[in-house]
Amino acid sequence: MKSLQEIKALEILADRDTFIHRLNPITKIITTMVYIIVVVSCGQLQWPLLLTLFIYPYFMMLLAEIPYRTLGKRVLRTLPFIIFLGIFQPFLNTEPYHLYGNIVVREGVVSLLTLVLKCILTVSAVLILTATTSIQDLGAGLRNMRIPDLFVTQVELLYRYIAVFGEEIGNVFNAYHLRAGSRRGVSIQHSGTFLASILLRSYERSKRIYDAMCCKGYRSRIYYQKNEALSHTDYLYIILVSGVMIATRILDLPVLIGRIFV
Amino acid sequence: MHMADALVSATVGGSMAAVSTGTLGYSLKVGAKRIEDRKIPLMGVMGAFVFSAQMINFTIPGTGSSGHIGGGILLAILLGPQAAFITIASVLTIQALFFGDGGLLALGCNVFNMGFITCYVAYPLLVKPLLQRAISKRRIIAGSILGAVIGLQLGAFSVVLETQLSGITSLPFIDFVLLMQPIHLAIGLVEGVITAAVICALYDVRPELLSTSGKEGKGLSFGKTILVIGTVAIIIGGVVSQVASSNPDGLEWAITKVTGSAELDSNEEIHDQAAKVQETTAILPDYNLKDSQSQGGTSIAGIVGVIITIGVVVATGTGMIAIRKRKRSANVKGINE
Repeated sequence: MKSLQEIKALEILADRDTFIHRLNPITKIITTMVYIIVVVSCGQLQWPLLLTLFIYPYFMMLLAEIPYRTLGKRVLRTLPFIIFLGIFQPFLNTEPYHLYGNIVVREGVVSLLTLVLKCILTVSAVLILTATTSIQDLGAGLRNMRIPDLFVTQVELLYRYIAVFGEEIGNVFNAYHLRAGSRRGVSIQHSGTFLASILLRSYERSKRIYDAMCCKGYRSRIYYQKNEALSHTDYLYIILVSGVMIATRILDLPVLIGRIFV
Repeated sequence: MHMADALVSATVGGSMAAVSTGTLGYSLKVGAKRIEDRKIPLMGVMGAFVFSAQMINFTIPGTGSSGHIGGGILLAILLGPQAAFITIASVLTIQALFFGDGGLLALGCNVFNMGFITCYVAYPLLVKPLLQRAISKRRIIAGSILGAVIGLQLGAFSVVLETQLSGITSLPFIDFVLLMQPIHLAIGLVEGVITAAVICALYDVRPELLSTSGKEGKGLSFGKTILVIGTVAIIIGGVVSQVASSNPDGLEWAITKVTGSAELDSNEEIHDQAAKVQETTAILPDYNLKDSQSQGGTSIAGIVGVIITIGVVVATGTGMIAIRKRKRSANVKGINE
């Protein structure tokens, strides 16, 4: 149940109080989206630009006091699929790419590296968003962005109950192993009864949850949430961060700066 | 099968987000009429169930491999397609936000590949017709396996299309398809078997859970499904034409790369023309295409630029950390005094 520990770790991080944490969730969602679009718009050979775009996660981790290790582990875990798809690039794209002086590599190698860089940057941007914004704030932000209430409620409920079911599955898992002797893992033959028993517990539990929600005055929507409007700081933050990112991308900043000196 | 942000272009990600948001809007609108209040926590709980259940890998005897449940078909059978689509979309949102599985920009693609295809194509066309007439274990097994396999095959094909349209990989279209489809055939079979096992077990103890979804409206008719798929195809078609004109290193470019040297001359022409088109049409042209002759110079300038920028950034960061530490120690001193 490593994933549950990871969620817990993010939740603890989101509970801190720094400048980034205090920003309106909408501000953080907008700047994250702008950043992701800027990153994915970079060309297959624009590795200097992608390396420069590391400034965003770097400063965010610094300002929000997010430990590199927590984020790094999570980012690394997402890389295999990207590498699986990109591993063919060096064999398919054999055009020469002049890196420095006489050092020539295949364009495919460069494009594989940019793909990996893009993955690291985009995944860390999203994780920084969730490490600096609690699920309640994210929900409030999404509702204020006119995302339908029923959907946001689903996301919140789902998030809340992941931990509960993680525990429940752990119990069923233990019970199975106590009776399974030396067998490792759960056999596919038992998958039906194994999952069905958890599912039925979940089903019954949802009824109790609904009753509890009704007792607390739930009538198809959640009323309690923060509805803070964007402050001047938020507007300034959006303009500044998005502006710097877009300018870096359009002007190709590293090459521009480099040309002054070379 | 989660697509990461790095695998999609802004155009493809944006278009698929529009398609998925539209489907979510439809599901919520129709769902608002059909989804009773008591189903709201059920959807959340079922979503959490699918999410957690995906963490359990079941071993397949004699193969040394294992597989987990997909959940889409199971949710569609238990909740109906609209509620299932909303639930899957919320599962994918949580996975993207908290686990880095799939990205925010690629969320639309993932919701389409795993939610739309399962709930609005595989379920109404394959699973529902089988279970609507009569429910038996044979029908459950056939429906689950067929639904999971076809759903996953279409989903994997959609991943290939989206990645190719984004111009991310040089892998030829056919090779990419041949790489993805067989892997997902095996995954689909395992998912189908587990889904069937769960539904059969539920059918034994609580058969009424399965029949309730059957009463909930008729779902999408065949004609309507075709209409929806057609609309999506037109939207994607629009994206294709846009991407193809502005980004020559997509599908065609990759195919010409593999076809050998016999057609190299004509390919060069095409490439040059495409580059000209790109130069005039692209809003953010790839600088290496524009001045490919000075590529060496550009990369040196790039290296120097990166070193300077990173140097400045790290220096600023280190300064910030030092200031913060000094402030904190001053605060601690103040408290102590």
